[in-house]
Amino acid sequence: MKKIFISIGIIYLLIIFQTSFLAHFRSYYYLPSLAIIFVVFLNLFEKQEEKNGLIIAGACGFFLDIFSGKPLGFYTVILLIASLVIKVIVKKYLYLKPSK
Amino acid sequence: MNKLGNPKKLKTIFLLILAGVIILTINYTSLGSKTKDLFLTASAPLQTLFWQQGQGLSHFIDKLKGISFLEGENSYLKLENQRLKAELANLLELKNENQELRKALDIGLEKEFEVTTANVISKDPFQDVIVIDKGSNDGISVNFPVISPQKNLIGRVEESFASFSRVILTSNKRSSISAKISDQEETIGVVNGESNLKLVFDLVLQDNKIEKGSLVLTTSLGNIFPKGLLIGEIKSINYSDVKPFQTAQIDSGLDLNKLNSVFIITNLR
Repeated sequence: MKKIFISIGIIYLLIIFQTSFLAHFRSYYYLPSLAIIFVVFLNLFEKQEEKNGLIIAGACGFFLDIFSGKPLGFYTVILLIASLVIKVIVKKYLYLKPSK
Repeated sequence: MNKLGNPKKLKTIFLLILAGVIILTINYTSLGSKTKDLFLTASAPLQTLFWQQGQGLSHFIDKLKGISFLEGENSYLKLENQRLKAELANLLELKNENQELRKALDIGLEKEFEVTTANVISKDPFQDVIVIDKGSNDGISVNFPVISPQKNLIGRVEESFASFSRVILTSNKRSSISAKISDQEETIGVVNGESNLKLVFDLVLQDNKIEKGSLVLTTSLGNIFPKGLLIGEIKSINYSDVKPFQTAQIDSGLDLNKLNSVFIITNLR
């Protein structure tokens, strides 16, 4: 639970940092969303039995919806689906089962 | 089914997706805008802080980037400034020349003589010589009289080069001009240069009366200068019974510092 709150806090700060601070720089227009990158990496390297990545992805999507002009739920659904797809891919193709 | 995990986990996943769909749905009600408003209000102080810091840093970086541009712009502006100064100086010179020409037209110089304007490019008051920027290419020849815009005699061309000429002033020791006192046709003499802008009216007969303040004009004797050009004004008279002639000091009124342009009489009308 602690991990979820910390991650949500980081995502919140990353989104505000990107939309308020980095918006003044030219690199802002070429920079992908730091929050989405964070969520993707979190889901990629999360243990298979944990599902925190999905919750964090949902929260990240929610904050992106808040600070973007998109309708509420747009990024939430996209990130939840993306998180799910990542988990499936990791489990099917990348996860190494421990040998018995 | 087992590949994705147990049914409990699947249930969680579907619940999350369902939550997303619900959020998307409530977006079309007033609740969506209220939620956004709540979060944005709460985040406003932090966003303001980040915004101000970002703005400050961005301006600082822009200034750093601008230094090299400013250096280039500065050197360009310096060159431009120099060019404009030169242009201004040229315009002022033309203005002065224009004024001189207007003065000359006012006194009807062009009616009496055919004149060419020239600028003084060099002065040597110790040798009573000036150099002007017109020469043989402009039709200037040796012995052409040189006058001021006020019709005062300045001197004559001593040597003419292709594009400039050397003029000896009336006060030059090599200068000797036949002259007379204004309104006294009989009082004639010779004005000799004594260097250092000094002139002396010499060879005036003792019988002729010279008065202080009288104007000394050129005569047509010698066939160099046209008659009636003002040489100067009698400043002091040296009268001596033992000498056959009387002499007088002449003030030419010539101010070399103000002499920037002159007229060369190329032909009498």
